[in-house]
Amino acid sequence: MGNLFSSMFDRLWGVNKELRILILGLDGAGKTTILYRLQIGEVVTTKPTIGFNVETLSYKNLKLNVWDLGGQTSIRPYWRCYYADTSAVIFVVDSTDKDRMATASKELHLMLQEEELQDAALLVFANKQDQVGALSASEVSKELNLVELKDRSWSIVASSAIKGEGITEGLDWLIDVIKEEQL
Amino acid sequence: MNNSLAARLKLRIFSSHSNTGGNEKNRTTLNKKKSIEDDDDVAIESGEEEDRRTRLDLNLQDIGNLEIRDIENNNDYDGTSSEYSTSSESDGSITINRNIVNTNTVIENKSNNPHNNNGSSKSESFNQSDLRSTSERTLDPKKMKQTKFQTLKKKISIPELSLISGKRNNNTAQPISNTEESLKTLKTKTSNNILSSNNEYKYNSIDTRSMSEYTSSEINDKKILVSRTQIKKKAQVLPVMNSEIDLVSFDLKTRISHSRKSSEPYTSEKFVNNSVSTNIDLNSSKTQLSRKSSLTFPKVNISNDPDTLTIRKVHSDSIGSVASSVYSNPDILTSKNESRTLMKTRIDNNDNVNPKINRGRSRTLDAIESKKHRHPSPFHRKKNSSSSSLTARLVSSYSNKFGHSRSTSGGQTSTHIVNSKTNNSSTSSINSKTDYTKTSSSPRASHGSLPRPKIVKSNSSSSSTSNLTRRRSSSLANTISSIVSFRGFSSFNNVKQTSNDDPNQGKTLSLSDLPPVPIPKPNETYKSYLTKISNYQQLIGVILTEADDEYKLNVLDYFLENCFNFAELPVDVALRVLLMFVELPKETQQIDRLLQHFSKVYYQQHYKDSIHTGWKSESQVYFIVFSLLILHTDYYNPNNKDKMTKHQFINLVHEDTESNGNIIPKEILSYFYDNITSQESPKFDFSKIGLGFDNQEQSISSRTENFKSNKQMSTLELHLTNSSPALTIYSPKLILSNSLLSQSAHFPFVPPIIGRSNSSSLSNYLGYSSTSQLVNNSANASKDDIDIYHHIYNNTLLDINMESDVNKMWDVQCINTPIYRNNFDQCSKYFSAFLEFKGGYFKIHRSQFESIANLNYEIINETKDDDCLYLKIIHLGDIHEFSCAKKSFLVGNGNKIFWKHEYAILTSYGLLIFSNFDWIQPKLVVDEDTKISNYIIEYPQGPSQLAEPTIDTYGLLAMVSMDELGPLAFQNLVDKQNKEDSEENGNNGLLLSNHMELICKEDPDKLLYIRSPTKKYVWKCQSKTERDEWIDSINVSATFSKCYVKLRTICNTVISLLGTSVECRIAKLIKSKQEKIEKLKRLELRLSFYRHVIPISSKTRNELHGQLLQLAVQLEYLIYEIKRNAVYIDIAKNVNQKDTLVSSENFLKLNEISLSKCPTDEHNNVNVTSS
Repeated sequence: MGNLFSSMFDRLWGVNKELRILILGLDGAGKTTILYRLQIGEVVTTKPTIGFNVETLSYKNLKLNVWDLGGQTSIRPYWRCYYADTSAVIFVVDSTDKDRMATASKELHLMLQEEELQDAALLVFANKQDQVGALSASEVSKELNLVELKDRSWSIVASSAIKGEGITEGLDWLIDVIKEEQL
Repeated sequence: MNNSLAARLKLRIFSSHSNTGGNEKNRTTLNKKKSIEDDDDVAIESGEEEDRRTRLDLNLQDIGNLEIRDIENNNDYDGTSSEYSTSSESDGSITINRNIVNTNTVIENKSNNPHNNNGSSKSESFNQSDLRSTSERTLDPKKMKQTKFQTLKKKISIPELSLISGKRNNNTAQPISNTEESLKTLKTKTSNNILSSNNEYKYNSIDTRSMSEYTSSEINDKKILVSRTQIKKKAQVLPVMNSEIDLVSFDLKTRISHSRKSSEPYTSEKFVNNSVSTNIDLNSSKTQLSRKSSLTFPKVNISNDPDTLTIRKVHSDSIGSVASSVYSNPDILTSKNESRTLMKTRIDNNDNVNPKINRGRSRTLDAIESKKHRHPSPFHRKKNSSSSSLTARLVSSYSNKFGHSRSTSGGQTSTHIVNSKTNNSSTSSINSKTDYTKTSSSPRASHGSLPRPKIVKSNSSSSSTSNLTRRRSSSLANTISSIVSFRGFSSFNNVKQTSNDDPNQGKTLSLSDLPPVPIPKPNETYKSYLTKISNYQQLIGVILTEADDEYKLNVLDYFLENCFNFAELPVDVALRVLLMFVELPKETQQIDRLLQHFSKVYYQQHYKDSIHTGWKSESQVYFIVFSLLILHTDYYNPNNKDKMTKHQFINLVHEDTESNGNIIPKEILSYFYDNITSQESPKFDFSKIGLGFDNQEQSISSRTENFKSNKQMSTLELHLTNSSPALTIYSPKLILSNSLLSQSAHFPFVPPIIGRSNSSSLSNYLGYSSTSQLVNNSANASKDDIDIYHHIYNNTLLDINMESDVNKMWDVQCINTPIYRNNFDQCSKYFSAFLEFKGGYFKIHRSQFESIANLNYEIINETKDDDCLYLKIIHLGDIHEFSCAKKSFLVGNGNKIFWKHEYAILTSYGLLIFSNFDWIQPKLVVDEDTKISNYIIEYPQGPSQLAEPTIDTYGLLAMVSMDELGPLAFQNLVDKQNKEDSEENGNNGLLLSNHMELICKEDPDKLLYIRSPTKKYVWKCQSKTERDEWIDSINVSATFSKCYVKLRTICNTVISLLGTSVECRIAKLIKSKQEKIEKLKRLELRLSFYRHVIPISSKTRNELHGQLLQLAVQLEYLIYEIKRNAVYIDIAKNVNQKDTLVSSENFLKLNEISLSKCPTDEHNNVNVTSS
């Protein structure tokens, strides 16, 4: 019975479909670390390809295709194709970097204005919580003006990529939202 | 299951404690083995060093005893086995393999039973010691010279260890029965000494994961501490210690990642502790042994050593237990695979292996195998990762143990470790190669068929290490290398079948493994800083883009500007060159910085070359570069399943307006796509070019090895040919221009392997380039495809770009070459022919005129009573027209090219060409109205004598040179006339050359080239004067064609339909000329992209060639229009038009033509306006 149920769900949710997720954020925020931390599920491949960091992971029956595209504004037009299919955006913030919090906020909001990202869920990792002086998730949320986001599922999770804390929680939330909203 | 296994192990250990009888004997054996090594050492050492070593050995004697005892205890547990006898007779590499199997198994066994830490550590240490001593036997005496330095270093490192072990001496005093206890204490002490492992223990009990991180960081701290203390006393020791600790910490990190993944509480710290402690123990024991040992020749027969036999037994036992506990711990699966293969190798290689042992082993293997088959795949991933970490740990502990293995393990994965650990002398590397091959060819040893490239890869990695590791004396590393590369190899296999081994794989090349990057001094020149960091070679990019540091980015600019030459490369190939020599940073922003600066430099280098550049701005280049890298990632990264199609790619770039992506021709974008997707950018190894850390002081040489060995993982290895000019800066430009690289030595031709992406490509032999396997583009790979990397390092890129094709089709200077200046006096003369009543007329009957009238016309002063019409003659004469006629089908294919004698009459209506001109007999006729006598040529009744339809003078342009309109203008003359024919027969080229030959034979002064909007003619005239007359007359009549000119003609004169006034026409010509020039610029811009393209696949090349041809035709037409307009304007302005130009109003009055019959717009000028 349970099997039947889950296989039905599998079909309903299009398990085989790959969801594209973008990891964005200022440099040094810990995107790459988080990306590799995300490989909690089954990691599919290993061989390094010259280029950007892309990882595929299976998590809770979903195949996630995670692109680390940094956060440059200059190539924004080019992202459109990547935006278009994007289910979610993971925005990584260095919680200790108070000076650049405003920049990060600007980047984030600018990016979320893209038409193609209107339906994408937003997960913010307030990263580097292991470090002294890190802002708490709520403080980061305030700095980033996340409350201003309308019509969007978003969540902020305090994380420490080094320690691997918070990553799973964040991803769980994201998967739930994606399943709810998009599948 | 675990518990029982643990119990069993414990039992074994305890029983070994009780059984101490064979100690003495075993010790001697070990000594013997040791003596082999010593012999080598002594042979290459100076007396002074020998003394020193002995002294150190004395210090360590006691510890050594303890260690040996442990070993012996273990050995005694199991019975006898004669396996070793075979090994002694076989070559060294085989022995090594055996040992590998042993150690692997034991360690994996240990990992299964984390709680039984002590026991397993003992067995581990035992195996390691055995391994070391035996493997050292394989040292080739020939290599002694090279390894001398290595040995020296090894010796130096010993005092350090003795320092540590001194504290432990207390422990060794404890009774033998307490060995386990003492070991524990010892371990702790050791850890305290080096790693403060007390903390580790504490953490261990709390949380394995996070604590292990602490541990690693602690170790790092400690490392610094240790190194600082050492630095005062013995500078040489420093790298050794550092590297060792690096290794441990590294190992820890690996552990962490693995334990995280497998979510299994691993006690990685314990392992580290173990390895550290064993390390020291082993060292001490080794020294002790060496002191005692007599200097005998290496080839000591140890075949009957009971202890070694025991080892074997122990191992098979442990394998068995591993196999039995497969379900309880998936990790074992890997060990099984590995050991199975290794054992198999051994079997294969040893013909005289004891059959009994063989059987036993096979049994074990079978058991494992069956387990494996029953075991579902989900665990494979864990299995892989953990096993690789195990291997890593194993290796690290090895290297620790043999204090002289100064190489730190850079390798986070087994493959890397292989490299870092490889102490290959060249002989040994050969050995290991053989092993690989044998293994892979053995059906049982591999899981299914092993793809050949993998093997090649392993080979190359091990062979590549040979140079750098020559200095090492310990050939133990051979063992390790073989095991580890083997491990890597098999894990690659697993990857294919199941999933993954280590996510960190390929990320080894990190700065953290290298000496700290020098910090730029204030006011340091870019060059000097670049020289300083040149040793980091490919990592320069990583260093310089690490942060948004203005100085470093300036250095990056300097580096890119001065050390690369992108000037004549297409951006995709330039990017390839960049990626070949500069490692891409990991973080996206860093990648971005690199790309941005690359784009800047690329643009600057191209901007200088203004004729050839198609690039509009830096940001445009950057946009494309970024797109290309995205495309590369998208296409080759196996993690990305939805590949971008060419259409998507092109549209994506072409839709962009912000960065001018839209002005890049789609054809070029298509080429970019083809080129990127036809061959993956592989990783390269330039460790042989003489930079790196080789040239540095000895003090960091250990790191050199670390550094270099890290790079071994990279795949394509390029060797320096001969002695080369010393490179002070890592300058790819210099490297390439001096041909410092040659692949021949290491990449012999290997027959194309089916299923590889590009069989003809050298980079196929790279293990890492195979990620494109997902994307099977081998189907359209042709053997004509270019191996781009071959051309890169032969510096022959410029020979294969399409510049010559472009030049063949287009001459940029074409627009600037002045066309033949018409003789304006002559022009005026011809112009007056329009104006004068008197002149020649071509008389034609109305009915006949209808048959030749293919153009719109008007009849001036028409009188219905005359049946004939008159065409005013402007010029006439006989000419030879270049023509081409199809040969009869009976004769065969091919065309006849010849000069056809014709008669041309230029009239007010158009240019008439007659093939038969016997009838041309001008008669002087007096006009009845004006009483002026005119020459009348009467066209005879009957069949048409016209060679071809009347040629409209509108748009005609006559020239003296065939190159006026570009190189192609008159080259496709024949093609046009016989297009179908040439397409069918493919004899285009032949025709072309024939016709060129024919034309070139003639006196160029007599040749006349005429271009109409649709056709081209080549005429041969009788003389230069005649030719010039034709040019002037044709151009003049073309200039004023369809213009309101004050014509004075006899009645019933036919002229072409009038359309516009001269002023109007001139204005239009000027405007049109400007437009055409603009258009020409756009087309030339497009063409300039083609100039430097280097299409990799022949298909792409053909496509580009076709596009180029089209482009050239367009350009030619534009040039024709521009030049024609220029000529017309020139003539119109210079011809004496006084009183001849009339306004349309006057003209109408004069000619009594109603306005309605004369439309003012140019709707009839179809040909000119249409392009």
